[in-house]
Amino acid sequence: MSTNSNLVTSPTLLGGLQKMDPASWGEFVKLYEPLLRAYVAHCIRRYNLGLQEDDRDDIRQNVLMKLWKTIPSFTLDHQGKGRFRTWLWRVTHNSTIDFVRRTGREPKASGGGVGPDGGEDFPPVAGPDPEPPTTLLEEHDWEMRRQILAQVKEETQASRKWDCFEQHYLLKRPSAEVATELGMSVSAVNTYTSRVLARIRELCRYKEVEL
Amino acid sequence: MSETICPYRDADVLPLSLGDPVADEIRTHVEDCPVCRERLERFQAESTVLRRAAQRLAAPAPAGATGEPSAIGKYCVVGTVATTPQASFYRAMHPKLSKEIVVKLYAEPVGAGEQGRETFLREARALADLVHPNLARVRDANVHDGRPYLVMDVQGVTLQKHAARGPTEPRQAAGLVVRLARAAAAARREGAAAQSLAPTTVLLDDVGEPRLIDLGIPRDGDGTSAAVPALGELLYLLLVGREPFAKASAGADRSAQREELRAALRGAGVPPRLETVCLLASTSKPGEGYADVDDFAAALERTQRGSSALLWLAGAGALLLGFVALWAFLAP
Repeated sequence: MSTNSNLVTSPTLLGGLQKMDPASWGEFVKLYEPLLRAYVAHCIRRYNLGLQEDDRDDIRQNVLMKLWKTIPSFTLDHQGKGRFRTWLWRVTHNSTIDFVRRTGREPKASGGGVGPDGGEDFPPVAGPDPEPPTTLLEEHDWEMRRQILAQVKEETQASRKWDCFEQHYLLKRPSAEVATELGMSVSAVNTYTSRVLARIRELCRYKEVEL
Repeated sequence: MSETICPYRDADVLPLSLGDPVADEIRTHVEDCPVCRERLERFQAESTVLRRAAQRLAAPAPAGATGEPSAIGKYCVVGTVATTPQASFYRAMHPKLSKEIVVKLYAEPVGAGEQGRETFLREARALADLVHPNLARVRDANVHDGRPYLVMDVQGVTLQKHAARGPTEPRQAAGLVVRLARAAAAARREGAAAQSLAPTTVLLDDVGEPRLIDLGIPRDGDGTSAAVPALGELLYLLLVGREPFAKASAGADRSAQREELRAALRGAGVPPRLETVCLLASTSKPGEGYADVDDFAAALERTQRGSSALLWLAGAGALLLGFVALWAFLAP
């Protein structure tokens, strides 16, 4: 059995991070930073913390630092327990709480289960880890798909494979019509369309995005 | 376990899902092949998702990207510490040691040719020789995308963020600025300089030790005259909790400005001698006030000696009173 068989997050991306390879780190940050920002913003709203942009950036940096230090143990400790983004959510949630406590920014809890301005009580009631908000995850998935399409478009535009894919697949135009327009054979249009699709699927698997 | 083997590829079946004509042979095959039927269903679901995702391609990328590089050389960037006109400072991780460091990436590209690179590396080597508890220690230097960078073994929170949490106790504030002034002077004696003494280019480490991170080799005549006012402004920031000239009255005449600052320092409960040093340093023009950074540091230290002498006197007085009381109590 492969050691990484239980990982839902791409073993390749995480594998790169485990080697502490700057290129993989860059890819990781690009991929997850929007979600990380959304998580931080959500935590701040959730507990009505009212932190400034600078504080949000501090929390974001602290999460990245913590991820850097804990990613090597991620496969060992979290195998099969869930997706990387659920783990990211937990780290963000706990880092936000840490930050607020350490810097003495705790809002007054109302004691009634709902904070002063409609937020939940802070400090949060002890209990099972909260689940990441589904709306954020959906938005993350759409943003990831957009990034993947943008990347494949860039990779395949010069060879006109993207044109085939766009016209035939996305705009549902008959391959014969597209072939005439682009001055290539029908079978070339079909092959190119299929190759672009295969590349999209490959990146989706790599970046943990469902199609 | 039996597995269905299908002789066709995705590319053969895809046209069917896109409404294109396909050979009868394939059409008949797909009707009977569970693998192909599953393929068709997947194509259908995928195409719905991808068409929706493609609509976002035209929209601009979501806001929030910081524009900071994700890596500089082998160092992985976590966030921005400070930006000056000459350089950006990034909080980063050492890839092998998993240790937090700060990378100073210069805005200007390294000078043309091997000579430019060699000049930079020679300066970096000189900076690496600087060893002082209040100067960031330079550990590595190289060129990234044509721009030179220094790697420094330092971590902590910027003075700006520290000050935003509220005024620092006067004695502690003075102590921090004395150490910074002494560090700047020490760098100068070694032929280097703290190129900016700004609230974002001083880090306070875990044990509260302040460290200058913007180190460089000065070109002719740059730096020194501005150091005392800059240190004075840092002192004010620590004492009051905000920068001295942030308000709209920055353009007002100097005596009015000085009175405004004095009022804020008094409001923060700053002792008069420390107030005087702070005002003289932060509002003086080149040629006025303190002769140099050492002169300023000495003046600042005197305010502390004064207050510690006062404390000593108070302590000695209390002790004497105690003896007198004891004597009175024990005396026959």
